Amino acid sequence: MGPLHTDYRGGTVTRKAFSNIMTTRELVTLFILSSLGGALSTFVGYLGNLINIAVGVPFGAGQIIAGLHVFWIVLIRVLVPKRGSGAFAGLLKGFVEMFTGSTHGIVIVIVSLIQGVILDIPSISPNGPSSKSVIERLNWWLFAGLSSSSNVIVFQLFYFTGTPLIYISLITILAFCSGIIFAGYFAWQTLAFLEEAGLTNHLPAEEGVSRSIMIRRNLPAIAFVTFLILGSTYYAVAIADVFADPYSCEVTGLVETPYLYRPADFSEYEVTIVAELQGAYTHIPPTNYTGVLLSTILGVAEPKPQANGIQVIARDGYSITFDLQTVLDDERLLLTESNDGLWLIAGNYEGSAWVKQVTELYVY
Amino acid sequence: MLEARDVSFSYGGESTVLDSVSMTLERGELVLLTGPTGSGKSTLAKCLAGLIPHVIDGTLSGHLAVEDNDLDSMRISEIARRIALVQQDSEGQLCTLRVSDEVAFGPENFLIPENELAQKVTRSLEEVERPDLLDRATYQLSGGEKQRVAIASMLAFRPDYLILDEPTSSLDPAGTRRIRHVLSNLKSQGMGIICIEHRFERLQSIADRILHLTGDDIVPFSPPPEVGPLAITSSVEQDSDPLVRAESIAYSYGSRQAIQDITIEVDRREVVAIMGDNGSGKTTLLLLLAGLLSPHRGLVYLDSEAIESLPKTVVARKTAVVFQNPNHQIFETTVWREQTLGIDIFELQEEEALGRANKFLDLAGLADTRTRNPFSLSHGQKRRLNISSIMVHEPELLLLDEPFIGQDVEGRKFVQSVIHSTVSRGGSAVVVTHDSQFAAQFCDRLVFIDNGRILLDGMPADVMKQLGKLGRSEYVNRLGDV
Amino acid sequence: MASRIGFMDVKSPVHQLHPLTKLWMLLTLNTSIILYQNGAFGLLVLSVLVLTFRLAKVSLARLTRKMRFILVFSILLFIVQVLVTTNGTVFLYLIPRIGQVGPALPVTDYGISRGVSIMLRFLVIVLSSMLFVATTDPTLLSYALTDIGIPYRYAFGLVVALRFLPLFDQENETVRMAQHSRGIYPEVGGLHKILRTIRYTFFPLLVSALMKAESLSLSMDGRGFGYQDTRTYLRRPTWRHRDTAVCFLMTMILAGVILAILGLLPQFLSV
Repeated sequence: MGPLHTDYRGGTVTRKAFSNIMTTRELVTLFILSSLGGALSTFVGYLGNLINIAVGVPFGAGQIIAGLHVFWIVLIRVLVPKRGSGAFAGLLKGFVEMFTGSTHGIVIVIVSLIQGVILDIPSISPNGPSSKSVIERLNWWLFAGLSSSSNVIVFQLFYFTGTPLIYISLITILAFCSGIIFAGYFAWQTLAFLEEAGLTNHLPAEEGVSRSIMIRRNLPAIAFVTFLILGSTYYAVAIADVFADPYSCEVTGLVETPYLYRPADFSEYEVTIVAELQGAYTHIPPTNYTGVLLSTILGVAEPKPQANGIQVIARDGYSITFDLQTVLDDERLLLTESNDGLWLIAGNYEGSAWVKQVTELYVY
Repeated sequence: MLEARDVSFSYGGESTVLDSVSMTLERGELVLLTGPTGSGKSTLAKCLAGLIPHVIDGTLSGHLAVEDNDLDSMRISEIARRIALVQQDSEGQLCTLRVSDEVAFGPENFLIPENELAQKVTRSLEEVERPDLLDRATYQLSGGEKQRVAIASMLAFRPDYLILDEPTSSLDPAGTRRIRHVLSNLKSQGMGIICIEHRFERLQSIADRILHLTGDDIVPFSPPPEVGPLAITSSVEQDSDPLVRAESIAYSYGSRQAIQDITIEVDRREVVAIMGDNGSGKTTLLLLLAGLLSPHRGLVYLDSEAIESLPKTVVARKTAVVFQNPNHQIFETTVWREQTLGIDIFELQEEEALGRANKFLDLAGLADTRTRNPFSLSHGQKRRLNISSIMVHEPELLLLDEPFIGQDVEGRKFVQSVIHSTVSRGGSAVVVTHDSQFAAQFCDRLVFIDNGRILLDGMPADVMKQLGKLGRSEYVNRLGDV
Repeated sequence: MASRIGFMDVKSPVHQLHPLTKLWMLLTLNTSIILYQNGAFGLLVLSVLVLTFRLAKVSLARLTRKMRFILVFSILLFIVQVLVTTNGTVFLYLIPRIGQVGPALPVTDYGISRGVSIMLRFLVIVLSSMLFVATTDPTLLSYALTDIGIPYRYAFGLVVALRFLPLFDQENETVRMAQHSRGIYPEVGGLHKILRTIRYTFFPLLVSALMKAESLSLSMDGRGFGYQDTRTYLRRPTWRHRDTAVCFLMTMILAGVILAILGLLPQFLSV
């Protein structure tokens, strides 16, 4: 009889599915809700557009409802409390969207799958949340937020590499909050509603609980979420900057002592040169540039004897290579601090050798 | 023999649905099972098909057996091969994209060799008299076709017993006649059949026995006394401007023409019945009259003004539509909020509106459900809520799509009284229905639609006479019985 | 009732390929284009793709509305890339030097070439997915998935989900009309109104969907779904020699791309 077994031999039965295999009912619930989620993604898109128009931007504000995509996966994950149901639902919903001509093609499958996988992370209790435990609910809401914000990261990896971190962080936070609201708070409202309607029996209805008590019970949750939002905002604007300090640069590759170069540590080695940028189309007249010679920076790292070249790599992926010996002898090649990071000033070279926002010096 | 002896059942601790019910069914026999809504007919069907207790939780006692094999000692798939259940909602029983795949679904699961599958599929579709459906996409089928495919998909693995839950409830009279033919053939091939029927008359002619289920007892059936209609006094205002007028309108879904060229007027204080086959365009016409769809050709006038030029809230205020599926038109989380939803939207004068809200909720028999979740109501209650909630803003034009499906005697009375109160306020009502009794006794006019055109339009008695002459007598007989 | 499912049931050499072959093509092609950021390679793949559309008798013109969005989005991607890339040979500054301010927002050759390659990457990903969807019968795809070890009860998900999609589209439309008939229109002014708008659409559809799930699971159980671990099939895709050939070719391309990235491919072979 498939995954369900019963000990029923006359008399009364109370049966529980305890197997890890999904029953037909669970599978069908998963299939159909994934389908509905896919079908309604058009509605969500439409709503996003309405919000864009209301806010007055061409796109972007729609991330306010990014959590509505995760909403379905959360719902399925709770209604089908089996390991892997989140990932499966995410995958299926993604496929449905792809088959109905999503303008993101197979990327939407990956985005949706990752959202599902995040909701499957084992720290979430495998049997679904209990309505009693506030901590458990917070845990779910938190993961719903993470799941929702993952879409920004994935899309960024595919299409927006090199976009300034600050924008990505802001949109990620927006999507995170949206996840908490729509895939957390609203999903729970929905589950309670379905329970009341007698359609599910997973979250025991909190009967007879007045609205004010509900709010009071939710207070810790609200406080926690506020803390999270404030915390992550602080992290994004203050701490994340330290990790990706634009005024630092890694020295790596065939060197004895790789290190992180910071101009402040080298202030006594600064030199000033006059150089003129001769681009193919543009021109910056002779200007004074103050900074630390590449030969000084590399000297500290001690290039290995077999090294013979150096690659200067910028944040946007741009790179240019020089002969190592030439660099060590060059007295007009330095890293200077500009308003948006470290610039490579190549006095003896033409414009394309001048690199902005240098993040790495790779010796090979 | 399929047997139930002293079967009792309740869903998870709630009140008992079945209380010590017994019945038998022989092969080659067709039994009609009737009973009021909520008497447990569908639950009994699920017990007989082994779905209770194998896949549905609850408390069951008693004895269920097929050819003396205990159902609870068999696996659900073994039971399924012998006893097939066709549920009421045929839409929810199709799981594949193509008819051939759907019919093959059962045999495939039961590991019927691949070289026999095609033949089984063709044969089953022939048995439901629709071999032409083979390569159709399932989502494009009409309601009647879906039901035929649902039955064929059960026949494909040759069950000995077939249980059908309200097979005719959403069919037009012609569809009812065809299904009767199919069932009588299956019976003569030796299949044991149980049909749950709210309106037993439809299948009476092919039944061997009719049983009446009351939840705690099954008794041979005796017909109930007739329900008299509310008296109507025709007072159609023909000399004034019509309330709604459609002028040579046409509408199509993609390439399918739903409404070809229809001109129709409905006067104030007029009650119009619209009849016609499933898929003939009745619902589309209703939506066009409500201004919810815009005709691709022609214009609709509400109170002599082009409906498209009127502000949407004005149209919504003057008209009210009740759709077939009650779940699609419930929006709020409690019955009372649902009932009073229109007060804010239309900015109604609160005191009067609340009075009406209470009055109609009472009339609908829903007064004690106020704080409940509206989706937890029964099907019939939900449909009554749909109707009572639109009465709060006193619409002038009532557009009802099959309001009687799923209603018992009290529900029918409620629908009729709502129409009555609208008409007495000077409004009018357009009612799509298969119910010729209602059309004959309650309506001023009967419009018969065929293939997106008006075939007949006139006094109900005259139109029915014409229908008889056109060979559509199934619409004339009171309950679609030939 | 029209359906949004993109599959176009015509006969073409592309349609006749085994679904798993096409899935492998989709995966290898997209992996290659994502790993190997090279404008010339992207252009080559895109041209082959457009030719394959013709071979598959799938008309891109039929998808005008969608194509418009895709083109706008790809141009947007291009612009974003150009704006965030500051290195390379500068063509011009969008904000010229005015006194002490500027110049700012340089447009560089490197930025343009990166923009082009990301734009091509996006087009290849989206168009290849569309081609896959247009030429692959979803039922056969899900049946074929059982060949690579996915249990049929799970693989069947795609069929069920797509089966119900047109129904939900239709129900969504009905719900929208029911809302309009009661004067309800979407409102997005404030979170409360957004939530209400969503509730008014989601709740009716959810209830209807869960009721469908109930009757469908009974119906499928009643037809032996999960009777055994395997089942038989009325229709099955067939694996031909050309499938083996195509899969081999795609694997070689992926391998070539990986070698090129690692710098192991001789210069004259790399595009």
